[in-house]
Amino acid sequence: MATPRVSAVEHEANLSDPLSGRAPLLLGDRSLHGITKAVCRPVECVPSRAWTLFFVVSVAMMGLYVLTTAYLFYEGIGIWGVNNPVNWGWAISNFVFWVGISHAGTLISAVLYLFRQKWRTSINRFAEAMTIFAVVCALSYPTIHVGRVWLLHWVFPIPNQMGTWPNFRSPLLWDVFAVTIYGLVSFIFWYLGMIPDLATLRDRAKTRARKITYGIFALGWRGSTRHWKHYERAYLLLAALATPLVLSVHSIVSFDFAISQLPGWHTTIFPPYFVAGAVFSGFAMVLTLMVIARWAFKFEHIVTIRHLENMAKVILLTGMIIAYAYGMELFIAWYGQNPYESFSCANRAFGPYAWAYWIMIVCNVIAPQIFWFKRARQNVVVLFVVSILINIGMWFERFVITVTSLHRDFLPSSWGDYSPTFFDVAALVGSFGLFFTLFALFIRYLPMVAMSEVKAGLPEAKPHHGAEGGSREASATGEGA
Amino acid sequence: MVGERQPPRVHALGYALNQLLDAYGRTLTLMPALDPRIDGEIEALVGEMKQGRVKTLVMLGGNPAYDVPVDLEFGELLAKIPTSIALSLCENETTQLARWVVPASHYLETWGELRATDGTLTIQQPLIRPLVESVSAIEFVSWLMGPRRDGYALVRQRWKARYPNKAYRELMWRRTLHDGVQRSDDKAIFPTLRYGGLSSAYAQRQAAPTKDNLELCLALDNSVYDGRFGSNAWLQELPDPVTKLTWDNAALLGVATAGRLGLQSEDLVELSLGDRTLALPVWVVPGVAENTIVLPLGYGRQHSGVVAEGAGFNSARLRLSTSPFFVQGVKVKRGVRGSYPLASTQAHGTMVEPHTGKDRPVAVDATLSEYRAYEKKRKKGERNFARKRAQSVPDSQLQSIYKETTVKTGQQWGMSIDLSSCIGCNACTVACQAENNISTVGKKEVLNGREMHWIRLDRYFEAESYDAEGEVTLDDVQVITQPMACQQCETAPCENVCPVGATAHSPEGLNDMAYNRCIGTRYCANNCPYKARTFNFFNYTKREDATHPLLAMQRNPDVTVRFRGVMEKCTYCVQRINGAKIDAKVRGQRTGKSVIRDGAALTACQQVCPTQAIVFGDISDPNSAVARHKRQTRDFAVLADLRTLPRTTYLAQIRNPNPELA
Repeated sequence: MATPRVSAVEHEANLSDPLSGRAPLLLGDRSLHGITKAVCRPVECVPSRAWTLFFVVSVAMMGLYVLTTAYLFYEGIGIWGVNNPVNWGWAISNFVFWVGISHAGTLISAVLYLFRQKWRTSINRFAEAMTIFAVVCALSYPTIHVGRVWLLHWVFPIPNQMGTWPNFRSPLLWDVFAVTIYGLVSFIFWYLGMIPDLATLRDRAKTRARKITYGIFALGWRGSTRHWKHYERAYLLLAALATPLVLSVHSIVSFDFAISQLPGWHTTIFPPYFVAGAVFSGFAMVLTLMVIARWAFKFEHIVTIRHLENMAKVILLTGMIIAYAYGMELFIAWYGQNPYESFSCANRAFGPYAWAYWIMIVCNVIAPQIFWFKRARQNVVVLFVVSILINIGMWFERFVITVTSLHRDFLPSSWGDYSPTFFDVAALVGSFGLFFTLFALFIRYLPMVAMSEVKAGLPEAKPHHGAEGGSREASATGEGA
Repeated sequence: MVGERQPPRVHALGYALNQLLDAYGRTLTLMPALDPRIDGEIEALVGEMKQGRVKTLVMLGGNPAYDVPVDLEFGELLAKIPTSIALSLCENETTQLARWVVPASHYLETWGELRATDGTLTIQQPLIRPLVESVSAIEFVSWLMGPRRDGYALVRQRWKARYPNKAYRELMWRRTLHDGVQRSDDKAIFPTLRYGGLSSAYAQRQAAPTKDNLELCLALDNSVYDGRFGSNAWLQELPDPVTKLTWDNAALLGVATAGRLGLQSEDLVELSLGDRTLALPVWVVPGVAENTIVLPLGYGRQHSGVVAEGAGFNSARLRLSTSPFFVQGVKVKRGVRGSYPLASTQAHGTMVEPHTGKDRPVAVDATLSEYRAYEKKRKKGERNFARKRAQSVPDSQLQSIYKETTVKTGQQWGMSIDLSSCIGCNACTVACQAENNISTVGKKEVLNGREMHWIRLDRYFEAESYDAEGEVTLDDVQVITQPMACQQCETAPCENVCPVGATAHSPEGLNDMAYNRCIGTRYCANNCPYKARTFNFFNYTKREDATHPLLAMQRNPDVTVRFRGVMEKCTYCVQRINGAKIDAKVRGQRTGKSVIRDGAALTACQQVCPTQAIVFGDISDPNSAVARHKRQTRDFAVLADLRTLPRTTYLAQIRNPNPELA
């Protein structure tokens, strides 16, 4: 997949074992100007036909979401397939799915930043954007899925003349706070990180409109040392603030299930299991999008195979964690001797929705195992296919948790089935439309790679190039490599 | 007692058995019939109609064009009569064919006089002025015979004949209106039986059906009877006590017969009897006699309005005057059109789990000997019989995941339902629907699993063997029916999870709903282990009201109607409790005591229960009926292991089977 600009020798060095020395993170044209040019090109050129087509299709899909939601508001929740035992269906599965997707961004930008994982610089902007858009998609579901959407503001603790407050014991309320805060912090973090790059775009802008627009959003950035000092301190603080959120958001989303009484939901393993699952699915989604974007926008020298391989490793790790969680659910069901719990597991594996359970197992547990092999981790096609499988598998995980637990709970008399309607499908497809529309706008108008950070990660950015005590990276790079 | 559909010879045998048991005057009292039914009346009329001797036919109510056996071809003959007049409450098959239709008043709109089967007399008083211009049957007959008089005058005229003395007449009239009834002077009959005919009656018995000679049994439907209630959506949506079907009838087959014919529920079949055929779906019901097809009557109506039309199949097409209810030799042909969806409200029929085969002790059901043996040996402090069955460990080892309410002031409401008494008649479900303005949702929505009943009857089959799906595989079944509504848990799982606090506990132990506050997250329904909450997925109230302008007038003004997007459920008829509370306060101003007396607040389901299986009241008063019920050793809570501490508990069903009949 390497472009002609990247030599085979360089490519090999880039993938060399990190224990014996750090290869450069970038390949090909590593000059500062080269990076700026490559990253700014999609923003500054005339939109390609491919982009236009992608944008039109995405907007059409988003239009479907708008229409189906309008009809939903007009007619009621009954247009979906939800019913009495299964009061939550696709909408909640989609919500958890999108919240999960949103995890990779903050993990990559904040957690890996704190751990000084420099390879993150090539992908963090992209992943953060994905986070924001996924949160937007995720938040749309709890909004539209309530029966009386026009009263939704009652979930917020707004002082009112009747002195009524929301119920602070309800996990749904915690959810409101957790996801909203996560969305806000992620957005601020993303925007803050983008300021130097927005300034670059402003400086390169040729039209007045661009100059003014980017100028406003660049907040007067001039790149002075003082700016950099404040910026880096703020970035570090926000990273520290965002890191616990990575853990808390999905823990709290899992409480929606774990705090309930239902067999298959009421499980203490849910918070760590959901967080691992979220990172798993988030990385898979970043991988899916990155494989396409680096090819479409010729970023292969910035987002190298090594970046993709690192993501594959994270996927393998988190995949193993959720495989453990799946196994532990079965073990506890047997060991705990709770008859409802053990039936819930048996019903998942052999009941009417067994096909969904086995899709989940195949996609989430079996498929990532191929990443034990280095050649698979470095093969773009394999990475792409497996990432798609994981996206599917993780959606099914949420479907299995939501629907199979509900459809057969305590009293056999109240058991029932669930099947989605056209409007359920339209809401899922439509949310992808929303996601891709936002994404298309992002890659068209904003720098999708953090130029300043990538440049700061270059060997030549180190003033004491090769002589710095702790920096193995610099010493191992060696200009001759 | 012999069922009314049985032929006279079976009745004769039944009377003979009762005579042998010396039952008359002890367990069975026979009263003289006021209106003896004479066999062959309708045939005689049809004969005259055929000969063209009927020029004018007046029909007071009824629907002969639909329910007279088809071979008499009443409908075709009716169309040929020069003057036919039908007095009818609503449009139906007969009014479609009659030349003139007169709108009849509803019985709640009319004056009249009624006699019960034991001769008790009552004066029928209208509760409301006729909503539309209409006449009652007696008014109509009086018109035909002379000057126009209204119902009140007619009833008073009758009393004039009965009591010539004016003062005494007035006294009796007022007394009967006040008491509601006047006791009858009718004497019981002690029949004398001629045993000579019995052997021939016995000899005429039909052989048991075989697989080559299937029997068709036409049954009066549990909801719409012979079709006369077909336009009542409450009844159409009322699940059959055994099949749990709504809005349809079906050919009911036992497990063995269906298996042999290779049929499954919802398969379409064509039944034929001679040259008459009927295509309809099959519904497999454990317990139907072998080689027998049960076909409920009263469906497949035409020209009868939006509710009755399109519901079910007209079984009357196989009903002949020679065999109105039972006939052998019916043929079953597999339909070519595949299947037909039937809306049942219960998908799983037993208390046995699929795959694991484990039993869930939801409704406790045992024999008297098992019960006595345990209770005899039970040590002090040990769980009672029913709780031993219903929960896996004693209460002391159980813990709730939700906090128990600590505020308990005022009277503490609770309910006890006796499973031994419950006969599964569904009266509670309809009473609740009427009291609480519960919408009907229609067949499509029942198929979607969205029926709104606040109290439902869970029906479980029990047998010796079950298949992998946990369903019974035998026709030798026991049926247990368990009324299920909101259990008013003290540690209610629904309350904790509502983000806006729309469902909360009252100090009197009710799990209240603030409908205005509900935003419809449906989390409460997910977390309710009893699935006792129903959701307005659409604006059902509005949809229902749109079907007829009168429906909005039917609503109970004490209960709000719910908008779409709102969760609803049983609240122990909180409006009635509050009504009783106000009454008690008013009374308390005189007496100084203002608690609700035991029995002064009745829930709608309790009020109509014909076997008094439902008892409701203050459990903090040890002398209340409900407290006494709950002290019984048959008392248990459903899903007690969850420690939801439900205020509704049940009394186990205890059977006493005769070992000689087993």
